[in-house]
Amino acid sequence: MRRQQTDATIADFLPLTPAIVHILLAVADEDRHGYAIMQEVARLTDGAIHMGPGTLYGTIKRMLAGGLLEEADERPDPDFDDERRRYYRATPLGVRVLKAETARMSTLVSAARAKKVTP
Amino acid sequence: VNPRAIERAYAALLYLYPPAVRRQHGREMRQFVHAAATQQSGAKVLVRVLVDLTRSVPREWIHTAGGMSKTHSRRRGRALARHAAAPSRDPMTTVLQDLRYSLRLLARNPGFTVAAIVTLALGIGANTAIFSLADRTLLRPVRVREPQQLVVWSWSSSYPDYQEYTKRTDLFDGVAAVGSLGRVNLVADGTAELAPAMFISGNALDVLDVGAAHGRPIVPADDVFNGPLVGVLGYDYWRTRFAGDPAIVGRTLRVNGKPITIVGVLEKGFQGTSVSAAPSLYVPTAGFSQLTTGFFSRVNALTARGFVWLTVIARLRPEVTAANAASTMTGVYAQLHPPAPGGKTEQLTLESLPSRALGRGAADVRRFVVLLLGTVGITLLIGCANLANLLMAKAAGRRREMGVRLALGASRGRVVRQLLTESLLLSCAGGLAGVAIASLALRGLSQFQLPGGIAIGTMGLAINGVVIAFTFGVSLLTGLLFGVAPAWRASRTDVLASLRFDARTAAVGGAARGALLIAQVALSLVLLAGAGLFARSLHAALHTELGFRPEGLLSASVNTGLARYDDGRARTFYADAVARVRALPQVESAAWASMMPTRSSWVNQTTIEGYAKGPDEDITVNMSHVGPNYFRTMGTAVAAGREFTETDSASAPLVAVVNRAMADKYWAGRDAIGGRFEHHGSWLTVIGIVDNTVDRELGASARPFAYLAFDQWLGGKTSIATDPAHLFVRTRGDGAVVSLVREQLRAIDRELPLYDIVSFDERVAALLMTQRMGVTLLGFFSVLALTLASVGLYGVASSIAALRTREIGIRIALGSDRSAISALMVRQGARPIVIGIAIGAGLTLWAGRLASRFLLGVTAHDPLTLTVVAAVLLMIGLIATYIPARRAARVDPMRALRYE
Repeated sequence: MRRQQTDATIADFLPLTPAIVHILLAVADEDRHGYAIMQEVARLTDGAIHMGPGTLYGTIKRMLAGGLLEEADERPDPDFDDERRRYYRATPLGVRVLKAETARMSTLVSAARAKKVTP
Repeated sequence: VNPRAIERAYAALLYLYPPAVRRQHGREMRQFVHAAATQQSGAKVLVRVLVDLTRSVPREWIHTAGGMSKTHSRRRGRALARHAAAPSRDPMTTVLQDLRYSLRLLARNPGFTVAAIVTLALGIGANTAIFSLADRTLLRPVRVREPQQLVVWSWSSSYPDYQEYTKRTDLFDGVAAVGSLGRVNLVADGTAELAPAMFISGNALDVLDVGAAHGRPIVPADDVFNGPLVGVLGYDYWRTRFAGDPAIVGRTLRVNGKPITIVGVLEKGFQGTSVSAAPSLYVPTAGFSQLTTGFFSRVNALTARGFVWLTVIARLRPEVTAANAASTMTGVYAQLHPPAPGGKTEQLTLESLPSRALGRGAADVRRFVVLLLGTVGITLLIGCANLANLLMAKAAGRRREMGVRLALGASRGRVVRQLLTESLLLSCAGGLAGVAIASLALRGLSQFQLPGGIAIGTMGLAINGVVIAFTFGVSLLTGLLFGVAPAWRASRTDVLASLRFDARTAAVGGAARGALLIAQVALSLVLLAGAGLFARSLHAALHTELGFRPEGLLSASVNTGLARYDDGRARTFYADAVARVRALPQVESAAWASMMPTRSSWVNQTTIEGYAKGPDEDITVNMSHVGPNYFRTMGTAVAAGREFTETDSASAPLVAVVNRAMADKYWAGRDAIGGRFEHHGSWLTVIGIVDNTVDRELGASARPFAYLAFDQWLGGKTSIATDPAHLFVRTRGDGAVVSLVREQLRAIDRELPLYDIVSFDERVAALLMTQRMGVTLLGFFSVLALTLASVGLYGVASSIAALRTREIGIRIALGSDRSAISALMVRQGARPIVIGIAIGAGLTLWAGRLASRFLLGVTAHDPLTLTVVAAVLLMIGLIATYIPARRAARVDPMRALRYE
């Protein structure tokens, strides 16, 4: 029962917007602060996407409210880091949503391959 | 650009976002921009941040208007997260819909639309024009690669010293030298013209990283002693003088009488290493003795260590700081020029080239440009406040439309976006018209000079890519600034209330509109006070005693040295020229002088007979050689004795005339006439005392000045033939005397260029330049601001009056006095005016510091100016509120009660 409800919740989020996918991907392997998220997204997309501060934090704000992201408790020693920075990581829900989105996309990619629609 | 500065600017822009976003992430967003600015170029960060703002600000407002709050269920929150970054499935369609609808609405209200676009175009146009000035002075004074790596020696150097400096490749990526050649006589196609020219070392263009648009740049192989003379032209000069003809490469021009082969044209945009008068021609330093004239042509400039004439510019290696390089180079200098026993070598400093490019008055130039930026920025803000006010008044009229749209199911986000589209459309139209206005404004600006005498017309200001990008950014920001608040209010329309028929009695956004009015009044006061201060300062300047009569006086200059005259030929020319000019019936009198009052002077140390000088006192006196009738021509009163006549010839006893300041200082209590002083080993006898005249700057106290006889030239190292000389002509009436004078001089020698022909009215105008520029610009903008503010006050007062018609009708029906009612309404209307004036007075006192350097005879917090300006503002404000109040009080009670 509980399982079903969660799946329904996850389905509520799909398909994700590109901004949310990129942010979830950027924090998938380690906790990052905003600027590092932007750099990671730029790296993942070969520099095609540079998120501005407004776009990035607007999306983060809604992802926090929606329970996809949370603030990390641990952070680097403030002596070595700018203390204004906050680190973010994906919640378990966020990870599941990203997996579901990835599954959705790979289904899409397989279907496209089957019909020989490949770049 | 400094990352801290970018961060601070961004912090201000954060106020465009809804408060919730700012509270939750503001600090991080600032930190983000700071990190970006430290790692990428400032321009790139600015562009990205602006693009991001235009995308994310409306989006965040839409989400806030969508009513996301803590009380909403988690599920709703998630659903919002999904819609969050993708407000619409097909964004282009809705954008096009919004655009179409906005265009229709704007076309339906042509009066409002035109007023809004004109307001914005004036504001944005003025900002664009001043920004292009700021771009040339504050941001990019030198258009070369990475100018912040370039440093300039604080003192001039000789050629052999410069050669030593170039060996320090451990500190520098290249060491170049430039030296002024002044204005050369450039003859092409049979016409002579004076053009500013510059010596550059063979590697200079490589060090600065400036290439050629045509042909090739000057290279080290060109810079060899006694080699063939070559030169390159500046791009703008090539465009204007040679009509951009590429065939100029390979041609030979005559420069100061010597043939020079033009090998190339420098790339577009490069304007030399200083902001004033971009050189037209660049020649290698090795050409010094061939191209200079008179005294200089006899110096062995390439070997004499004592002859300093070069400005050394070096590109620092990335790991070296300017301070370190400076202390090492001080050591190098001390080795080349060992200090006298017990003496000390002065510490060399390396200044950054962009700062040095602004000249000696760099700090004043910066301050003045910031003052101008502030003025146009305030004007634009007032325009924004006015438009926001008008839009809110319109929104009040559109409440029913909004209510219907919301009732039919439009999301609040959609309503906000529709309204923002309208304001962005207006601001972009204003921006386009603003570019046109800016190019007109630049033409107007080009008649002014910056402090330090930099003529804006010679600075090559243009509306280039950077300026256009700025205009675009400002237009978008402006649209958001005046659009966000009204859109936000409109989206919060109470659907039910708006659909009821008593919609007219609802409030019109009193508090917000009141705040906007206060801001407008306060900012208008700042501009008005600024204009008032400059006006008083100009008035004081106009009444300064000049010591000569500028009306009907003109001057023209020649430099016989450039035509390689010898002393005898020069004397003949001067005598012949002044005789010919005096013979013209339009001329009352004429005379030669070696110095141009207000422009140049020569300071000399001297000894005065019978004057006991203090232990450390140096007697320095300004000197000029002037011909017979000079003082009569200038209109300077001779207080005692006589002025020079034809009898004071080269063979006559040496004589001098001194000004009052010199007589009072060095012959205090004695008779200066008959007194003697020494100059270049000769003793001169004082034969006359004249009034003090203004030299250099208005308002400065007069310095001791001695005049020597023109025919008794005592130039020391200079001779009568090598120095420039100035002909002063007092005319009868107006007449076209200039062309007649030019004809007379041309008749003597066709290839001797006459330059700087100006009337003294113009010269005096140049002295008043800063004040005049302040009065003109601040005056223009403050009148604009005052007009906008009164329109705003009138508009708000009218709409309040209209809303209260029924209430007023009831009061009158119940026996209230009409004048009491209009007094009540004026009192209420006056509140924002009075508060605005109080705030504006505070702002004025605070901002006055910026202007104080440029004021003459009045302080920045002059109580009289502030009082008068506040009174004017109060009066105009009260009139603007009184008219609608009186109209409201005259209403017929029966009609008022039947209203609706």
